[in-house]
Amino acid sequence: MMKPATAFLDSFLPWLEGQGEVPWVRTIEPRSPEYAALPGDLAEPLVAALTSRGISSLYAHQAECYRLIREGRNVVVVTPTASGKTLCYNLPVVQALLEDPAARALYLFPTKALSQDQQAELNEIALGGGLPVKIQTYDGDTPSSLRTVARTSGRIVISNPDMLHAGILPNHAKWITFFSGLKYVVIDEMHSYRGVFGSHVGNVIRRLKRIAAFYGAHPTFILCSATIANPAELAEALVEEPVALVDRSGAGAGSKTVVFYNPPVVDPVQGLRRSSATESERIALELLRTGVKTILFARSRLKVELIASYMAQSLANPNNENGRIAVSPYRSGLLPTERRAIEKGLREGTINGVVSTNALELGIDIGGLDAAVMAGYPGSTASFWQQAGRAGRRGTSSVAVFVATSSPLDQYFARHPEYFFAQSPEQARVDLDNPFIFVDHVKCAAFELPFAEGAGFGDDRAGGGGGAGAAGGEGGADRADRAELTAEALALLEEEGIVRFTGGRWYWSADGYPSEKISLRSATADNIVIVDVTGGGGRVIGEMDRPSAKELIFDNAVYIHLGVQYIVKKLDIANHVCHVERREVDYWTDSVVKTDIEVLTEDERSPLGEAKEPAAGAGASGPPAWAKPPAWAVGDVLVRNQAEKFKKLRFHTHENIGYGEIYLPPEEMQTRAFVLLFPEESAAGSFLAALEPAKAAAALVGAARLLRALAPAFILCDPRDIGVSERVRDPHFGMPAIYLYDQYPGGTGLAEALSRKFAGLLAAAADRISGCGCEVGCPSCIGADLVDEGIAGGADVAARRAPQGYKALVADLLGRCVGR
Amino acid sequence: MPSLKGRISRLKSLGLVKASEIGAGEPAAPGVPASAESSSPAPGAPPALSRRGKASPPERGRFLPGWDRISPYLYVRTVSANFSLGEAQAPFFHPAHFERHFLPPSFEAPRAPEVCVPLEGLSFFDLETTGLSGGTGTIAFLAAVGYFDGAEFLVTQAFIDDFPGEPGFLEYVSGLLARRPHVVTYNGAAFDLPLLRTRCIMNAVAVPELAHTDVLKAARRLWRKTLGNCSLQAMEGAVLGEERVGDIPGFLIPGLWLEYSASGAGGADTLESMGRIAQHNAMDVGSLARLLLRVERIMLEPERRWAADRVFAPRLASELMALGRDDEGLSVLEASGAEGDQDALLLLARIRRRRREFDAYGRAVFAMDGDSLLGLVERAKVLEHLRRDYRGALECAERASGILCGGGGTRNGVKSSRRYEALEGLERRRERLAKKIARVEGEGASPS
Repeated sequence: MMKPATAFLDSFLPWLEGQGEVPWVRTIEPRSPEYAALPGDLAEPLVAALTSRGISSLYAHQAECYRLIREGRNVVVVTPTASGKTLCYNLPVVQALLEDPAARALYLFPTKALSQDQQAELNEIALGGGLPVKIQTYDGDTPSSLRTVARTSGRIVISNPDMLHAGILPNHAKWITFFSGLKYVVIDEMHSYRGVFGSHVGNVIRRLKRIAAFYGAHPTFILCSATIANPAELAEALVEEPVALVDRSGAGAGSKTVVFYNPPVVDPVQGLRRSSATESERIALELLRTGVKTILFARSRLKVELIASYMAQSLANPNNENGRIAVSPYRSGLLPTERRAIEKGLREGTINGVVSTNALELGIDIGGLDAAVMAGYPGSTASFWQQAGRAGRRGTSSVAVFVATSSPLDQYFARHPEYFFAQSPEQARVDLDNPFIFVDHVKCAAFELPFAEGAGFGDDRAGGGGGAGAAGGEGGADRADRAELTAEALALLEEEGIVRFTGGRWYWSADGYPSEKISLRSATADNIVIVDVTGGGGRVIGEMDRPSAKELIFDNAVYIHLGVQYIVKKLDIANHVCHVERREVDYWTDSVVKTDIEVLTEDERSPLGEAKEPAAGAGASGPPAWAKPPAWAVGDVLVRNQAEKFKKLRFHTHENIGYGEIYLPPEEMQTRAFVLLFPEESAAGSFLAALEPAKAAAALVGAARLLRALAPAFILCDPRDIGVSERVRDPHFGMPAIYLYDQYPGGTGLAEALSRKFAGLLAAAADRISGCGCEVGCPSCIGADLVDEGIAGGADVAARRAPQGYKALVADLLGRCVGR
Repeated sequence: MPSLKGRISRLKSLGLVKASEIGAGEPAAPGVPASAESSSPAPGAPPALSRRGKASPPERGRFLPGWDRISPYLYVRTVSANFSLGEAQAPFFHPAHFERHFLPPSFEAPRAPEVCVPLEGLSFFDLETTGLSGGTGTIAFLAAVGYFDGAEFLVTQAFIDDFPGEPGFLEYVSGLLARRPHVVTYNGAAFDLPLLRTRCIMNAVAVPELAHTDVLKAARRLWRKTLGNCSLQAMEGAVLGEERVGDIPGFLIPGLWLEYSASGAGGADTLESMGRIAQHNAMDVGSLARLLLRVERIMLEPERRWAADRVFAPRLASELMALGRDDEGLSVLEASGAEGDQDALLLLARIRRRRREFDAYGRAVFAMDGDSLLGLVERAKVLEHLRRDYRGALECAERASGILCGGGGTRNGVKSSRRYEALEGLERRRERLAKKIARVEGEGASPS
């Protein structure tokens, strides 16, 4: 039964061990499927449609979803790839649409490519059985002739949150038939709705529910997610209603071997390892040459193209048609037809190898492959398993190879296989009441329907409120709070002349179309356009958000674009433009940014020395002072970043060849922060207090960096989403502090998530540094660049002049944080 | 749990929240009571509390002279327009004259050409709104319904001075339209009627069922090629021969009403601009009625009217022929072709060829500009297939290729995107002609 795919492992694993380090190999045992009978009430044509596709029974989780959804419950289903996820919602939805000709359903996918895939699959069910259920895709690519059809006769409309936000909701009266009958809303790939995007989408869902309620509809929500730590919590935060969780897959799976590969160390002093991209390429080639269908995941579009072309070069052999091995790159930015052709080639076996960004990680059907090679950690365990899941067809065994980079995160995993095999550790968070996002959506909602006096935005929940209580920081607000928050937002908009309060209602009272100017995905609409003015021309070569522009493309900075060097002539913030000129120089520039933080509110604070965790065995009397963990606080902060000077660094040697001044106003942002505090009575605090300030500063800088690098292991985010700043003596708290703040104005729930996960994060950081084999710090722990000169400035700058025993200081500090 | 209260107002006090660029065009006028009323609450008092106690602004209760307040916020008037039906004017019109009959096929079946609608059954309809970008945040605040009362043209207008009047406004306007349920609009298919429908749905007012004639569609067919701009104002100037003086520019209207509605009791100048908007609105439906009558007349007497009214002859002819009025269509084309209208000649040539009227076909082709690309291509066809003058045809084809390759002459009629295709076609023609020439001349040579 089991194909002897393990046969290649017998030779592959020894080969791999000969190349570098293989700290761990784990094999997941095959799982046999659990079946359930087709539901008794399933309509005859639907049964026929399933039978024609060879489906005569369901997996247990599909049957459970069907039952719950038919009971009118909201459901979130968490299942691995290839477990028949789409039937979980298609079956109850199509059944309901067959029963009630007025019923409608809305399917939301985060990307257009997924919508197309979904429509193809649905058509197969519907048309295969000749079901009278019209399925329409409605997105930016839909021609206007089909849009009317979708609005009036589409029974299932497939779209994305952006289109719902800017196209459908602001024109809801044209959709009266659709909204009046709206019975189900399916939200697939729910885990991608976190952070800024998720906080926006949650507000779009609030607007959707508000409009549906206007037409008398109260849809049931069906959400699907890859594995995360808190699927039910995220689902309830997004739809603000109770949601039932279905997380046990009844689908069978073949055995899978997961291999961690650490490229060999080439410079033991600096801790440098061979490039994970190059090593991945060699491993994929080895697999392909032994006839194993392989997918290689790389992190950027550029890397995908490079690796694919290197592999094609390596395989090129005119004598044997390249060994009959075809390798193709796959990424966003390819034409839809090109992508469809690659997907088809993979399904049909004409393409044996593919190099992809995470574009192929989402549910696009490419059939099964035998091996997945991941060049570096894809950012979350959910992504890790989705990528690993690309290898493995039903009933066969497969292999996934994780090729580590030298980042602290990857190196942490080298010693912690359990991270992937225990319960998923990462929390996905949203903050629907981020004031900036909230105000934006109140604006859109006022455009869609006037607000009655005292109405709250986001309290149209079917159950009357409160059900989602536990979800995130926002759930505790009751109806009165919601009304108050909404009134605050409306009052603000009134001052801007955008809404008016008259006749007891708030009316949209401006010309214009607000959703057009609000993007659900980008953090700031305030972009600087980069214009190449070489030779008097004016060619736009790129764009950059304003805060980054102040740190990267200040006057006289060197800007490198697709390998070409430019020098910045003028950064004009007021006019959102930056003029650059081509010039060959032998250096690059790096700004020195000074960060000031002002605490605006303290919303939560652990009692000193009584942090929730991790002091094991803390009795009633508490642990002795020297063992107490650090304290913490969560609140609003004002972050002021100012780039004041820049360094000129010579290419390759990174030798400092000069300084320049930057004259730009500081960048201010109000956001939320998690603050780690070191009172003297804590073990770490007393350690810091005994150090001279420069050394204490250095220890804090190193610890902060490591915490930031490892944070994505515990909360779903990118290290770039978090800013860090440290104080030897914080003026607000009066003790040493490390700030970890949300890089999105107003916060997206990261600070709250950190307050629940910091114990694990501290332990991981302590572990990483003590387990790192380098001598004085390396890119895999606290970074190698700190052994650098300093410029006069804040404490953090002084710390750049790394003192003796720097790494040991950081290790000591972190060790004391976790009671070691 | 972090507290929600005050999060926004705290940001506001720091100057960190700005409601972005939306509505940048028309913020409330400075010094206007609305903004004064909503100014920041007293320090220390949560703004939400002050909001709760706040009353809506009182209704203004009056408007310009000549307008009657018939319900809260709603004012109406009926005025006589400065025009009436001439004695010769038939008291009905043919909706079919305004439908599109010629390609591309319309989604709806065209009306039968013989159906007549009495003019007194028509509502000439136009809305003024708070925005032009569409969506549910745009409302209509002023409507004009023009109608014929005997020979006289009257306009009834309804106006609201604030948002809460909207349901009453919609009820009133729907009732007015229901009396003469065939509406005539200018761009109503895309704008006024969908907007009316949306507003009715949102205010739980029954959506009126109306027959509809959109004069813009007919105007575009007849005049887009000759006039370019088909706005109602352009039609007034170029077709009806009138110019408006002191008219308010349409793009200012939304902002002016938003300012007026927010301005409470004050603002004499905003009141005055409301008067100008009302006048603009009434003039629009008057012009609309005249334009309808003009199109009707052109369609009834095309041979007499087309030239004076600067109509694009080929489209007019196509419509006439699609209605089965071939002789009139051909006559318009002949007349326009005689004045050198290349498009008319080309269409005429194609129709004649399709009808196998080869003499007339040849005449039409040779009437075309002999230095133009299209003229040369058509000549090449006539010379090759009708006159079997292969050398002449080849010469025309070569000159045409020369024009396409950039050598002088008029290149009209070929889009640059089709240039390569056209060149290829000519290339094939030339090869074929060369073969034919070789064969003919070979035949001529063989006896020797």
